[in-house]
Amino acid sequence: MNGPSRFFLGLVGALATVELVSAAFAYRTRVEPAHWEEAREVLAVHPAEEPIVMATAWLEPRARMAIPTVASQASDARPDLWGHARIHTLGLASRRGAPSWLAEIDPASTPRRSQQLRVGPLVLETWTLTPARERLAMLHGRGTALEILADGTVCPRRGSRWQCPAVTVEDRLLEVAGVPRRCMAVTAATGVTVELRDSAFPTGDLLRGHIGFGDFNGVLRSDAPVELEVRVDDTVRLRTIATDEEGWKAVQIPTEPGRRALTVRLTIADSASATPRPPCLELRSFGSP
Amino acid sequence: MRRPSLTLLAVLLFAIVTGTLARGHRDVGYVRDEGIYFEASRAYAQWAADVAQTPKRLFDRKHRDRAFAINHEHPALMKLAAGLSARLLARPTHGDSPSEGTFPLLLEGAAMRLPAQILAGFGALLLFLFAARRHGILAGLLAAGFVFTLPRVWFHAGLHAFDAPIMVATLVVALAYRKALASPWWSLALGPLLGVAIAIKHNALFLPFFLTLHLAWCLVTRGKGGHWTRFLPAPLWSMALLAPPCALGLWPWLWTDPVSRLRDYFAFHAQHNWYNMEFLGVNYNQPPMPFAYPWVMTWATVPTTLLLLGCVGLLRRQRTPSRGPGEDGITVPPPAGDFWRPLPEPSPQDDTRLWLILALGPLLVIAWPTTPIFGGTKHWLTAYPFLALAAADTWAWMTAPIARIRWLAPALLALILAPSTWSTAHAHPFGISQYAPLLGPRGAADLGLNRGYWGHIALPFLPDLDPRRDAPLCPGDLHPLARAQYVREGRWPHGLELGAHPRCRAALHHYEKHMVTYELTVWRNVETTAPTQIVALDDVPLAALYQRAP
Repeated sequence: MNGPSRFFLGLVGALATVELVSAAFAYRTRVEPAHWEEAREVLAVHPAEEPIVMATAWLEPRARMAIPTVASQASDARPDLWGHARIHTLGLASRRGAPSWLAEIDPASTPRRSQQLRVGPLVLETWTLTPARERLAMLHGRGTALEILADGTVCPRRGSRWQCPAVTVEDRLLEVAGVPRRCMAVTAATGVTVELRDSAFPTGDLLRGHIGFGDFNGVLRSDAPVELEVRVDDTVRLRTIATDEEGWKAVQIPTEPGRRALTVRLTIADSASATPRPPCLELRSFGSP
Repeated sequence: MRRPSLTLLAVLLFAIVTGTLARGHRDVGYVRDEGIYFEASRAYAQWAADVAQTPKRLFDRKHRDRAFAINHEHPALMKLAAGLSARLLARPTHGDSPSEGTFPLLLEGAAMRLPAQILAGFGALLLFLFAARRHGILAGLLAAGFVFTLPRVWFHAGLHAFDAPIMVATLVVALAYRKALASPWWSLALGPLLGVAIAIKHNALFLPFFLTLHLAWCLVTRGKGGHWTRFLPAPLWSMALLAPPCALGLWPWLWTDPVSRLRDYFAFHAQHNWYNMEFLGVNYNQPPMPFAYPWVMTWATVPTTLLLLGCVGLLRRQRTPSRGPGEDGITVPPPAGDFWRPLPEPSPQDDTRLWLILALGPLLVIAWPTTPIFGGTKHWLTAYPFLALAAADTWAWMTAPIARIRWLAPALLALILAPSTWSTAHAHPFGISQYAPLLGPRGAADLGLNRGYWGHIALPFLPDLDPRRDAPLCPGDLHPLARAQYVREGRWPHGLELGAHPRCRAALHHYEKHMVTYELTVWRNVETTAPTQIVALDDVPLAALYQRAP
């Protein structure tokens, strides 16, 4: 009778000891202000356009508070890591699983760690991605080169916004599937076709972009899908349907280098929702690696 | 130890729990729901005061409905108690409807939280007494400590809300039911006690089903013998007949048109809003929530040692027969049951069955695929006292071999309760965001588990808010009525008005996965992506303050 209870007693004592030791590690702040200050100084020497990726995603607000480059890159809300030859990662040294950012890089690139630095519990790494494609142009950065039409009517531009009676297209930040993204956000009545035209869009050998739906909280509204059509020099090169369940859906189109007439058409299908969530589109052109 | 000494210890425990909650929760910000309950409590207590002054107003339907219309989707008892507590103990308040208690000792919010805190202390007392009388003082301390050293229980136990009170009420009903199985007087008391529990929160509506299931299980396993009325005995009739009028009597909103209003009440909870809840990196806001959710979250928020003790207590087959061998060495069958005493001598096995049903029941209800997404772990706090009682049973079995080494058992108890006590003390006043030591807040953030809800984190930011620079302030998830309570108590910076985007010059943000859209709005309107202050628990951001550059 005493055997099992003695064994269990030992097990409970051992487990409680493990938990007590775990508590000593778990229940304390590890990243002190001095660590953030040092990380800021280390990252300040790198060019501001080189992405700083948070290897520990939940640390990002604290990093934005402490490191101006991280804060300014947050407002750029990059769509992925294509087109960058060098990136920097910042995270807790104790929490390094398979880096999630690997999914964001060009599969043709091979990441090679060129630098690693410990700042207290933080680890900063610099990665070289080779070969890297050159990013040539971004749809949401084209400004005056871009013309927006709603059902064939030209929408006048004011700042970063194009406005027609039933349509607003805006170059802005939007949350798609829980992540901030900078994109062309399209607010339109259902059934309306919105056209984004650029008569001389610089192209390389690839157009790559994403489409998603803003405002995760609106998931309950059961939005209708969006039909996306991309024409290059008036030839349909892509036609696809995007639904709100696909998150940040990537699209790719092989192209020929030069300046091409690019037309992107978005049609929001009939929706039962009174306020459908805005589709969010970004498109970039890349040269060969 | 003699019983008076146990009682004295229990009273001491009651005083420690209640006093520590009352003192400690001064630092806990007002949660969203409290803001509404404060408002309702004032209205309910005003009605009670009016009735006390002019008794015929008890029958004034318009007067009553006006008072109890606020937050009528929840029963009134705790709000009424809170309002009366404020009329007794609250310091003078500011604003549109200033008030002052008869003995102005506490902030109004603290006075309103006091009834729930007293109930929590009573819960600790009950757990201690029950387990100590069966297995000794240390088992009693384990049972009470199991529940009240858990950070999330501690957090909720100090609030003017219903989750910890219904946990205690469930324990009271369960222990009364246990007595009622062998006592006609307890049978008569059981119904009204269940009525009181229902008047606290709707979780109690599940109790008759759980208790009936328990009775059926025990009777079936006992086999034949006894009068057939034991299958429809007094405790069940008491719950069926005495609980409804008692619950109704304690909820004046239902005195008018009770059928229709009860229908509304049930419909509200059956078709409850689907709250957002992050689980393993995914935000859920429509059922079904994964079946694993309450089980994983229980493991993630309750130290594994305590869970192990509780689970072993629930599952360990107790070989104890209902009666010991008689003088001739033959096992004596248990006495036959009847209407008034369906289980005249409940066995330890019967108790274990009761703990099992009441510990698993609340988690199964939440895990059920069609259950609306109610949110956090608070919705199954009612399971924890029964895990604790099962843990106390395990304790008695486990420590029997070391009874002779006097220091060992107390040292082991201290070791067992240390992780959860540390967890609670360290996380205070953000216990709603705390995780058990094997995971910790950082581990939970890595796994994508919820970091908090209810927008209660505001107090740490208030000293840094300057109305001339930061007004209007967008409050994030802080409820305007919670802010109104700070104003009433003079704790909110004078002149710091709340606003809406895009006018805000400063903004609070509470980190939940579904709030990202809101944070982008803050970036846009406060014109910065860099918070000026972050409240974090072990590096994990819980809330942030954004202020526009001057």
